[in-house]
Amino acid sequence: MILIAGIPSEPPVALAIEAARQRGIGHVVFDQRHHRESEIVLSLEPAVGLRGRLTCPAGEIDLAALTGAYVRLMDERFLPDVAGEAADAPARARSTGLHALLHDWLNVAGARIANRPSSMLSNVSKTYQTSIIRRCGLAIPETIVTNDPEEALRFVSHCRSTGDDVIYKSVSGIRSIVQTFSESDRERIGRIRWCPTQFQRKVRGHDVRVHVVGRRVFATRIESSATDYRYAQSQSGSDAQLSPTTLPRWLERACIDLANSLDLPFAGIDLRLTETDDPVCFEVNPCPAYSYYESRTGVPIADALVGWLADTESLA
Amino acid sequence: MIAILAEPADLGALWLRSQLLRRLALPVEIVTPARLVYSRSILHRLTSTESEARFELADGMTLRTPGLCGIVNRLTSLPTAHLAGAAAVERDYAAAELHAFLLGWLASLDCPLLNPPAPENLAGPSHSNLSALHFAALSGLSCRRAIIAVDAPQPPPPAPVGTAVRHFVLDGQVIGPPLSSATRDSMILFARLWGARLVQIETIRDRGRHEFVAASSVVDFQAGGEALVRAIGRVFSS
Repeated sequence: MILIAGIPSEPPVALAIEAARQRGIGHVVFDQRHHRESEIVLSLEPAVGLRGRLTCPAGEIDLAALTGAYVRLMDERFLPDVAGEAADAPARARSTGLHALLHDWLNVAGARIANRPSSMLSNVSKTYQTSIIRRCGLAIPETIVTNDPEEALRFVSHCRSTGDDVIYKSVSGIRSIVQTFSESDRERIGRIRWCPTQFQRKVRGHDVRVHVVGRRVFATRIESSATDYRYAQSQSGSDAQLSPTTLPRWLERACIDLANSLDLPFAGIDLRLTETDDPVCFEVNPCPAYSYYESRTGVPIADALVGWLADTESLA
Repeated sequence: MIAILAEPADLGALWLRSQLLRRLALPVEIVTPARLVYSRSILHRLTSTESEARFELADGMTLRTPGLCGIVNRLTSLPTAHLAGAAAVERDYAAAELHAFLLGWLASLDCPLLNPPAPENLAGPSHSNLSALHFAALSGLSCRRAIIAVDAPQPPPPAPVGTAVRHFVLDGQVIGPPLSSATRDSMILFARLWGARLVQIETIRDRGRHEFVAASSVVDFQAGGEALVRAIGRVFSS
């Protein structure tokens, strides 16, 4: 039995539910929108740790009976039925309590969890991930983080002297649209004095999104002239083109090592292959919206995910 | 130089500085979060093979990494007063960026670091009370049976019977009052599950039995005394 936790109509969750149904894998869906009708009770047992039961409209689940859980929970503060409530409103406090207990169990459960909430925090800092990416033998783009306008402009000149542009983007996990540094940015460069900002040498080549599921790897090649292919239509006037691709074995192993190092059995790794096919790694998404890639390429990511959670596919 | 990243009123940090100065032939400097964040110039450069950073502090001092012999990391909060005039959404964004930058910098250091940062807490791993109790139970430390439900989420604390005791685990070595070998092994296992190099473990001792109460990656150096300072000194002089 596996648990699928999230909003069932959201494409990645919907695909996982459908894959479990097609494979005949026993599954129960915790619909996060039904948090008010849900209850979790945990017990702490000496020498054993936490055990518990989750009760929701889909049924009552003995958490110890689960082989795995797919976790794609939205931030409970923004659930529509509590988002408008005061911070100390009882309904909001109860929702916070329910999610805290669920996270507690997911963080320590012996089952296969994709992914533990605590492990998903690694993308609060791209440069934190960078240190782990390097340890796994993957190259990173030349990067500076600075609050000094002169250093930023020096870096831009340094990169341009070898024909490369510079992009800037958030260091944190807050989503930002990657932008190429332009002349108009010089006029507002002084604003970085308020907060260190990340600048990166723009790597020429094409993007590859790698999804790691356990020890399986699914790679998608992305062709786009946009700086950020997720916004290809608005940045370049045409959609990105996606196709399945295969990676050299050593690169697959490096991606698996990276996902393991971050304790992310399900990960979306952003690579760019340079014009000489050398991979450069940007970041690792701990809760990948894989449906975008699966729907355009047909690669069976959801099938692999539910298979791994049900323990029908060996980790070895 | 050894840098102690700590608030100016952190008495434990000030005490540790005085102790390390007595033992190590190295300067030991308290660097407050405000000194770091309000640096005139900050530069962290990362490539595939190296990482280097430079903070030109407002008082004229320059902090460079590599170049430090070690860091005691007690960065539990960051100053954001300079962002007070910004709109809430901009302020939250800038605070997240600041946290992300410092997390990335601390994680890139190759000098001895107590403790290395964790995404949830710059000063090292932090876990909920319930997760800590789970780790304690798995480690074999004594824990009280508890039932926790949504409407009563906190497990009841142990009854205040017995003596409160603190132990410290640093790189697999237990520091503190004498323990049975089984309890010592349990504390070592607990520290591994907790995930930090240096962990403080609080228990209540009653008739030779230690009942787990709490743990933290931000430790009370004075409670660890000379033995803890010696162990920390060894980390920085190795």
